[in-house]
Amino acid sequence: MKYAIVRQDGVTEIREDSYPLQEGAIILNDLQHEQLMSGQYILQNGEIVTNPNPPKALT
Amino acid sequence: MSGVPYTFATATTSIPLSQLDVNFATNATLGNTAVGLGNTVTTVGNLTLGNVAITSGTANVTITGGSVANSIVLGTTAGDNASAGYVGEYVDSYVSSVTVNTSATNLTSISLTAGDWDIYGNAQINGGTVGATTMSVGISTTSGSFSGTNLAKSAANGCVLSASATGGAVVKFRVNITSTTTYYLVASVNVANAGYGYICARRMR
Repeated sequence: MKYAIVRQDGVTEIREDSYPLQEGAIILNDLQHEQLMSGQYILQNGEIVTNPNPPKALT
Repeated sequence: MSGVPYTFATATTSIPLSQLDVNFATNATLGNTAVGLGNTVTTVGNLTLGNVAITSGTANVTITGGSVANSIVLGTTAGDNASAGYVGEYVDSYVSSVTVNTSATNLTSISLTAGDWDIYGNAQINGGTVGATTMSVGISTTSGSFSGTNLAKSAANGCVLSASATGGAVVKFRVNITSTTTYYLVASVNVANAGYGYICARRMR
């Protein structure tokens, strides 16, 4: 199951495992999961929005 | 029909279909071992099966004290996941935009149940206006610390430096645990900045 959980410090973790779904987990479809795993997007108030501080390319 | 009057191993001619029933009322004999067919459950011993296909239902096979020789296990093509507790189970976690400090900082973590796992991870930390030039990344059983069980195996200082960011990977290593254990992806950097990390594990057996 692909899902997101918002930690107590406000950081969102994107997870995938076969454990029973945690309370408060937000189930993600494949597209949402891919977007969030790219680091280019974050989850904010339940919506996927552009990450204002994305990982920089290793140039 | 009241039973099957044939002993399969000694039959010298074909057994007529009229003598077979979907639910055998009496045990048939295969080789030298009595076996129930249909809805009767019993034990089969010293039996060699060839070209066996189970086309419906669920087959639960338990091998106690033996082994499966020359086995070829077909992988899945369904794009699904192994169930919890099964070989192939996968657990991962990704996090972005966590402030990584000069001291060991948790990026994210995963919880693994008892078993024999391969575990690995990586992290990247953006360079700021000052620029981060050195970082460490590791996997630890101790929160917020570059210490704890298995850390020595996690090659904690691999770094790729660039003008804009630094990145490091923790190469795959084995953890063999008998109880549920949390593994933390931990990083530090010489100039605090936004970090991104991924940690994952695969149950090998």
